[in-house]
Amino acid sequence: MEQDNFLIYLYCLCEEQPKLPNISFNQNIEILPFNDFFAIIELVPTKDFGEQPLQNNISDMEWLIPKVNIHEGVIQQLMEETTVLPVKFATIFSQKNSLFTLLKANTEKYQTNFEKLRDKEEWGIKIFNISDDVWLLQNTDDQEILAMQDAINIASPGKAFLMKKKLTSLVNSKKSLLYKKVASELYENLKIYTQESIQKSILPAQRSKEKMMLNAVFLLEKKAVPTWVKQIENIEAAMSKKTLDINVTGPWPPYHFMN
Amino acid sequence: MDDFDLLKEEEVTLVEILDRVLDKGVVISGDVILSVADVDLVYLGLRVVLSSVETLDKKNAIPHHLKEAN
Repeated sequence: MEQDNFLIYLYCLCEEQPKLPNISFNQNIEILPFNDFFAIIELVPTKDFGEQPLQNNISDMEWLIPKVNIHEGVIQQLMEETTVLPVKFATIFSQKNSLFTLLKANTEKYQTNFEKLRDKEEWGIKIFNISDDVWLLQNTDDQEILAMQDAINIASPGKAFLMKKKLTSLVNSKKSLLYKKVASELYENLKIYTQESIQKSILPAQRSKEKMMLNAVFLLEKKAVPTWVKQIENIEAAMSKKTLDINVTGPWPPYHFMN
Repeated sequence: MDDFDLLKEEEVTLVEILDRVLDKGVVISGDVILSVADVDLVYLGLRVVLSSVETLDKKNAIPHHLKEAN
């Protein structure tokens, strides 16, 4: 039976019926009405998306990247028309009944999420410390450090060597505390005008000069976005020297804010 | 003074997308829910990702409605 060769790929749920073909790059999208909302699906070959092949394919970036782009592209386009509950990549069902069982069991949860997320967007911020100026501008007269430097200047070479190591260690821990404090203040400021916010873990450095200080996502009402963005521009403008790089991305489907 | 080596916009975009859409894929056959293994997306693994992105057919590139505030 031909059905054995295909599985059902679920992209997302829509509150209102989207107009198709709106998705210019994927003509195989289907809309499945269910209760008061709509599941957006596509029939995909079992040879690519069955459990075994999928495990292999997911580790193959040349397979994964275009598929992920399609997944995100479909959801982003639908977001322009209606409230969308995005689903993770590769959420797959062997038959429509399995999908309907899931949708039925969670209908109330979906309705709650549609209510919550209507006219809202997710935005992301990553802040990088790009120079030591953050530290240097604020700590020219730290008493503890000055005292240590004075002591080093009059110490014997051996002692000075050890003391310098201790000083480096002390400076690093103070820097760390300062960056945490700055990041925390930034985060509190960025929360203004937002509905919800989540701080995510700091990612390791991609380049040697880069130090991530803040990684956060925010849920905003669409109408609040310009004000929020303006606020970020103000924060940047207020920096006397460009010590921080504020990387803003959005609007995103609300991956982080569904209950 | 060294330049701050910013990630190219496509690289940033791709990492942001993967960060959001990837998770355990769930295959439901019958009543059994099976989990596909997590993709271990390590931030440092971006170089591997990049070489794949460069070989992509441009037709597959999806326009992203992402705005940068700066």
